[in-house]
Amino acid sequence: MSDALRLDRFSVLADVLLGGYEPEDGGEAEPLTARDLESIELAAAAIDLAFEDAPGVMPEAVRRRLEQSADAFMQEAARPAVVVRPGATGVMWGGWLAAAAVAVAASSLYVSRPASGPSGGTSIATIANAPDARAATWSDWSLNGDGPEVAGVTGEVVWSEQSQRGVMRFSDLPPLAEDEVYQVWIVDHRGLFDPSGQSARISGGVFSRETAQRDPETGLLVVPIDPGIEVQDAAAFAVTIEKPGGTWVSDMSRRVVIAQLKS
Amino acid sequence: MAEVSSTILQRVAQGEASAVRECLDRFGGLVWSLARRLSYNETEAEDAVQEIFLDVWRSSGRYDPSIASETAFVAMIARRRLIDRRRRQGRRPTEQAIPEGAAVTTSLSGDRMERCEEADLAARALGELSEEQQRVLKLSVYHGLSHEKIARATGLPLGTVKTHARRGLMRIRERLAKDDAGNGQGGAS
Repeated sequence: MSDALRLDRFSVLADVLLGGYEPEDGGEAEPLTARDLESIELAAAAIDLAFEDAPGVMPEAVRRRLEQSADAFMQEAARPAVVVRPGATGVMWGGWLAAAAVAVAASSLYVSRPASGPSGGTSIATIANAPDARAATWSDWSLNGDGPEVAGVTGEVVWSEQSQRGVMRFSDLPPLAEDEVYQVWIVDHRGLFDPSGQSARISGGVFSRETAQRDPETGLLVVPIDPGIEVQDAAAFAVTIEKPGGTWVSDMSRRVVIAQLKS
Repeated sequence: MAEVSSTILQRVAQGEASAVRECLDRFGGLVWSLARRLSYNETEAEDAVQEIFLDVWRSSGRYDPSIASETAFVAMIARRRLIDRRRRQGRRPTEQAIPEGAAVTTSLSGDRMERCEEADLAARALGELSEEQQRVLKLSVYHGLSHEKIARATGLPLGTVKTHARRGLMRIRERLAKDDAGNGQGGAS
């Protein structure tokens, strides 16, 4: 990429971050890398901090509520995490237990819930049998003529908007290097590329072949989807390969599969 | 002092319960200030604070002191969540009045709370900009106003507002990156 084009894309990212991007301004809103976007976000945070006079004092009621959230978060983190690999660090959800391997029997597989929600898990069967559950089959994810990095992965994804949970099934997943993970993205009705900069892709978590559970009956690899934040009008799911811990914004250069829900 | 503050997020990532509470002590005021300033009302600010700290705790494993100080990292996470909330709600603060004094003074004085290194670098870089550029950046970044609102309030052409905001942000980014390269590490406070 030329320096001029790279600078232009950084400028567009700056516009997107500040909410001043207009498609007619030209350029492309596609992120360069997560690190690039973070560098601009960090600059904005630095400016904010430079202008900050003095931090305010949090009201006591807000503090108490936060302490309850902290307690719930710590309880949630202490639950057996589904996506755990020995020695792995920086797993996006349930990351506290990333250093310990936890075996979860397929019959008692739970989807970890975000700390802000009610406690308790939701079984894979519950998601699949939900009244509003919709399924879609995976297909190789090509983009602009470029094929996926990993081809031939088959299976399906099931999503329940009401329960805000999903489950992925794969025939198999190629093993990745130590510094790589799979990450699933939930795409809403705005699609993969939203020039306004709004969040059209929400991370549903990271996983690997080793941490996925093998269904003893079907032999399929099963991985839950737990977005952690509300998803509105999920339209598609996509899987990329990222660095350990995942990323906030993927440049989608390392694509695997994509599945579009039928409306 | 720096050693204690630089390990709070790392201790959260390691599962230390006390560190989660320390996070509230250390960054609660900052996050509350950001939420109050970039939310539409106090109720939304209260909800936002909950989401922000959950994001902070969940992101703790990704914190790298060689890239940013904890304060800057938390501020970044907070701003990200607050901007996401506004976009999800489909609203922009165009209805807000220009904050009192915001359009007049940029107040980059050094006599304030102890700042992280990134804030110091940003303050120095901002001080090199014109008053007009500083004003636009404060209204855009600090107060979260739309470019259109800033143009109407300041009388500047919209294109000028966009240019000031974009270039100012890029300038600070370059300054932070340059400092990282020069030090061989990030700005951990």
